[in-house]
Amino acid sequence: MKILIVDDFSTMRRIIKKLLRDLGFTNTFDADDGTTALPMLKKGDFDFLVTDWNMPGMNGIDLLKAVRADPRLQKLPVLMVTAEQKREQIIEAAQAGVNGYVVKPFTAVSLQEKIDKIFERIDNS
Amino acid sequence: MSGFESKNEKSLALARHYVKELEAGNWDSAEEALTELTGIRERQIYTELEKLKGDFHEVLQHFNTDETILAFVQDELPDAKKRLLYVIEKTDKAANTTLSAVDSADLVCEKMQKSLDVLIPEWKKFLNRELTAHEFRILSEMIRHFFETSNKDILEVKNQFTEILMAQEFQDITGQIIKRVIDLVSEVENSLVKIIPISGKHQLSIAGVSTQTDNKQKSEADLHTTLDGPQIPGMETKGSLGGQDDVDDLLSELGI
Repeated sequence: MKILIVDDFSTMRRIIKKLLRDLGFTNTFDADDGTTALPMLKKGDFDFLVTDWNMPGMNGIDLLKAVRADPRLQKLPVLMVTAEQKREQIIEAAQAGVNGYVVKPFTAVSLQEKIDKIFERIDNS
Repeated sequence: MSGFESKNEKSLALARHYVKELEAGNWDSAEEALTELTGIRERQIYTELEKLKGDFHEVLQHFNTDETILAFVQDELPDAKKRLLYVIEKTDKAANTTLSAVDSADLVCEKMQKSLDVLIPEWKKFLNRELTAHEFRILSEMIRHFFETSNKDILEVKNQFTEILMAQEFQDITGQIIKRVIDLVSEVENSLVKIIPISGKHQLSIAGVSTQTDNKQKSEADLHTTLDGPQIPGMETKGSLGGQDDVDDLLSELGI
């Protein structure tokens, strides 16, 4: 499974990368915002996208919308990991087609739960 | 020739004329020259006073009408203080979590090392055929026990590593909070920069800075209206949910 991690803080990218490795996902790549991530997604055969919301350049919600608008990427599972937790924002993310939403600060366990849930749903559908 | 020099020349000419007329005994003409001479000075003072009055009025108006300045003083500066205190709290907690995890992992490593300190010489004795059958049975029991506990111990060390890893999330959270405080400081700076030029003399040198910060502030203001960033205990933004459980409830309502 090839995973792209997008966050403007390098420490957070490393944390998520390490947690994913502990969960058995070793094929991970990272980008610091949507502008860098989108070409990577279009070029590479990624299976999963983990993205922050608030980033300079292209933010996470715009990246999600761009992914859903691309015929080749529209089915890509997307997990948002963000400090944003306003009701309207979560609704916006849901409407844009997010598959999971984790609020920072989070625990290793909650991240695993969300990832498991996303793949469970995909396997069942 | 600058205005200042021409004014001086004029004053000098009038003064010369005044002395000349006085010496010639033309009192009326001398009086006229003197009146004109003092008039120059009075007009200058009057113009400056008028300008000062205007500037002062404008500054007062600005303070009265600029609600952003009031908002800074009443709400945003105390908020910024709370945010920075939260940063101290977060970094303190992260440092302590990390140090405690290192201590725990260290203890486990020491325990494993002590077991090895006993096992290795015994194992060497066994290889040299120096152990009796009874001693070998004891050693093999010790090795079995070591294998069993090692598994648990390694898991424990790995858990402590995860603790240390997760503690580093403070950098992302505090980074976002500090960025917001920096934005606020820039906004205060920008408001002050707008007021300073009103007092006149520095207008030209500051005008450039003002436009620059205007644009910057605009884009930051846009960001403020859409994103709240990390929630700080006791000062949650309106409409914000209370953490992952609330978010999960909303998501399941939305069918995710």
